[in-house]
Amino acid sequence: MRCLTLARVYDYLEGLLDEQDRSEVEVHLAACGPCRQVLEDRRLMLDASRSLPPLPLPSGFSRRVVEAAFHRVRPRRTRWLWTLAAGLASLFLVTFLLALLGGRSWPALMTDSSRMLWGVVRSGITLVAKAARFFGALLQVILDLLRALGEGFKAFSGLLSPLTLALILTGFVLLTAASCLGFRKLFVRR
Amino acid sequence: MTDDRELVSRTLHGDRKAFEMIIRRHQQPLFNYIGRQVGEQELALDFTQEVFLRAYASLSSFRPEFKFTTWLYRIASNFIIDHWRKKRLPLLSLDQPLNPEDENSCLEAADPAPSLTDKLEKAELRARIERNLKNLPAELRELFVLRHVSGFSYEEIAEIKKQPIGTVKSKVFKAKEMLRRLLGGISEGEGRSCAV
Repeated sequence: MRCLTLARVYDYLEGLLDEQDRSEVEVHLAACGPCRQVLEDRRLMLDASRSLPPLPLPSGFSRRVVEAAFHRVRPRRTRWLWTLAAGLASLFLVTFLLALLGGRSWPALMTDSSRMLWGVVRSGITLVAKAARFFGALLQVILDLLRALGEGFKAFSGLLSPLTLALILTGFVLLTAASCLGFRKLFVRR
Repeated sequence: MTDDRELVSRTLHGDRKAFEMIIRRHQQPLFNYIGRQVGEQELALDFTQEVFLRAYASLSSFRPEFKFTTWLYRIASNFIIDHWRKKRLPLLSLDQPLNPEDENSCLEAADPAPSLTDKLEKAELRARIERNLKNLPAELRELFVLRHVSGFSYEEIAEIKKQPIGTVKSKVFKAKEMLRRLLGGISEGEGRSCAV
């Protein structure tokens, strides 16, 4: 009878064989001393590996990691709306307290606070409008630049043969892809 | 016991306790795995902390349809590979060639390695395994630890390492036989026994 392969011995020990293969192995083992010895030998090694003692971890490790995590980074879920609301509420409260300490009457205080808040909102709106105008202008400049580039490319391509043009375009596409995806990911295999 | 996925979701909502529960659940096995890769206690502690921090920072990218443990160990594995690369250590030792025939070698001739049963008590055997793990090439050591110390299935290891199951099985086999030879104190190649 042909003896077991080492791979089969391991498969048997790791419980990876189906019912029929397992009983075939057991029949062979019952009749073959050397295979039994190899099996027992590998079983000892795997059992000992599985029961290696845990490495000593200092107490308080989890707390240390939590502190570091919450101190250093935040999960990417943003809570900007809450932050904005809290900021506005604090602003309003500080204004209110300052006015109160200044000895103003209650209605005057409310009027002044509202006026001040409206002033802040108005300044905010103006700022957003200016930013929008600025970005509009910037977009226009970029569009003009792209148009000029297109014109230039058209003029340049007229001077070249179709093959050279195709080569340049391929090179450009490859270079762009490499820049976007990272050269390492494209050329280095893990 | 609360599911890992639920703990992840709670952590993403800012629950510190939930993240601490995740760490408590995984710290010891992860530390064992990392410690047996890097071999130094302090470095292993720093690495384990860093792996948890990286996991925390990218928690929102964890997809609940996958197993959290697999995802966490993939982060750990990549982190350790980066470490070896920075130290410019070979991931697979070139002076210890692997023999693909070993896997199919049969046992008609007696195993030439001295029997472990005859030689060693269990505690002594564990100590020798611990010592000799360091002599395995980094990649084989990692796969051996994942399979036979941490107890991951071949499918899970394939998922962690992003390698085909067949490749993983073959490498783990090589790791086991290399370790067996190191334990028996015999050199690579002497232990082959085939009379096909």
